[in-house]
Amino acid sequence: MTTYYLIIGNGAAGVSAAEVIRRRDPTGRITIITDEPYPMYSRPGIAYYLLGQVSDTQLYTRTPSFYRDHRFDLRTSRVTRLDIPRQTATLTDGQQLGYDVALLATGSTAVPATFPGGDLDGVVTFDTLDDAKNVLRRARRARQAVVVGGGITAMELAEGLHHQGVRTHFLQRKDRIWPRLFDERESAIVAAQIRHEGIHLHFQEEVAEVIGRRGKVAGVRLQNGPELKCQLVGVAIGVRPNLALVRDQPVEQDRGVLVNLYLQSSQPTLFAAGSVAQVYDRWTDSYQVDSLWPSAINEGRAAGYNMVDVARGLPPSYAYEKGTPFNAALLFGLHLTVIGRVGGSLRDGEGETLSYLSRGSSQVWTMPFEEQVRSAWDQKGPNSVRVVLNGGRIVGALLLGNQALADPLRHLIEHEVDISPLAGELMAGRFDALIEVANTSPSS
Amino acid sequence: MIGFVEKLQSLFTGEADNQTPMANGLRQVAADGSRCVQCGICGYNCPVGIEVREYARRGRHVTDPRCISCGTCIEKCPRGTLRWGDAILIPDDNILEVNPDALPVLLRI
Repeated sequence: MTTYYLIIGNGAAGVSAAEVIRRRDPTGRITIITDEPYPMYSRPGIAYYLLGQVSDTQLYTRTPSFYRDHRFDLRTSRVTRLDIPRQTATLTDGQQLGYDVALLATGSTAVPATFPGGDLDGVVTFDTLDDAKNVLRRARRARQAVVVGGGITAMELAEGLHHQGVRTHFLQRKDRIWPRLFDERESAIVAAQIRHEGIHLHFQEEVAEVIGRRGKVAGVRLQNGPELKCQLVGVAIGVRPNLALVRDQPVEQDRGVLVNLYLQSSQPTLFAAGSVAQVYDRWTDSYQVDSLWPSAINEGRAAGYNMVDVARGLPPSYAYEKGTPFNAALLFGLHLTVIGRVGGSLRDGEGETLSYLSRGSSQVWTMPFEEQVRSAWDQKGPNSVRVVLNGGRIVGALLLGNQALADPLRHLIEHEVDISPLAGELMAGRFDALIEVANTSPSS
Repeated sequence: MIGFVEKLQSLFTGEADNQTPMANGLRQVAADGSRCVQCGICGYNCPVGIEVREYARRGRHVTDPRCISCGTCIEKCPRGTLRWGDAILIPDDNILEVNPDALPVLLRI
């Protein structure tokens, strides 16, 4: 009897799951539903497309024959309703698809602007390839733009618009960039780079209202009073997991769909992976959401493996262990790497739970510590390293500029290497010894 | 492209560039698959048209015989995925999983 697998979402998690399913089950029917008119593409790559570094079609991550070769039935549609007890999905055109096992890999979507005028033509977000095309098209006509938000996506939007020749104002609500992640000195390094690029950076400034003319963006009025003329407003204040299909359903959920170690939801035939899933993290002993590409791939693969077990009537057998959340980015010519736990600061009275996750980040990064942690710094010009120590181990690191220590630090964090003998050196800002320790410590 | 042009120039001037594998003949473009977001900038800039991403996303060395070791992909990758590594003389491309139920290989993160 043929097994029917339904995968909702054609991104990193969905496609990774489909690939693993196909390897284990050569005859199963695998349907992938996407509401975008494209084959799988690199979501992080849309920033490079906006910067003119790559073409749109080059962002497609697989060969043109990929879906056919794997016998994936890719459908451009939208699931409007998921009937979990009856194991049926309804598509936009009313068609019903039965399934044996389904994967929710719907990702997340930018939180819309909350200020008045946020629905005017010219207020944009930056989630998808179509968003990138929209921004690019509008940038060709716009003279001036305003970008709000503090994470990687906001910085990518500001940099991309500036690159497209648009005079760009970048607004930060606080006196720091990305205050949940960066400390004062890191923010100062990034700020200097942003200004050096020629982007107009404003601290402690927010949009009070977008001013429209004939339904289109004509400018913004700032909280502190002045008005800025602009034709484009970029909003990147965070993302929300796309939970619409399971909301009001008997599926355990918090910020995302709560899954067990097998990526299985509280409903045995429904799995979740990628940024819609809330996954157990052993570092914090809690369930966390990541909006990270490698997390989505790994969760997709693990979910796919276990979906085949469940389809065969067996218990899921592959227990997933979430890795150290990691991301690397190049922003305004400055390299940024974040690894593990860099320590949430509640000084601002704003914990992770009170605000949205930024795309390209992990809740784990900024989870506040209960234990006593210490941070060591080294800073030379635009290069900075922050190492977070808990007991005799490094639990997190943030690097700006020079990346020589990125791989050694990743190694020490992932393998929980005891660096107690070096703690004094690190606290004194001497980091070179880390490279030697990383090179000589055991690897898995 | 700059790497490629410099490489060509070095061929004519006879200057050895000790940062590139031609100097020692035993290096290849290596990849850290966990850094790759499959954006394709590497292959987009490859002067001989290698789809470098197919190697990069799997964390494999670029063993395509057409590779001229210009280093352009290394230079253009925005995420530090690519670097020079010691050459793998016998590519592992053909070593496939024979057991379909082998556990999934995860990116090392």
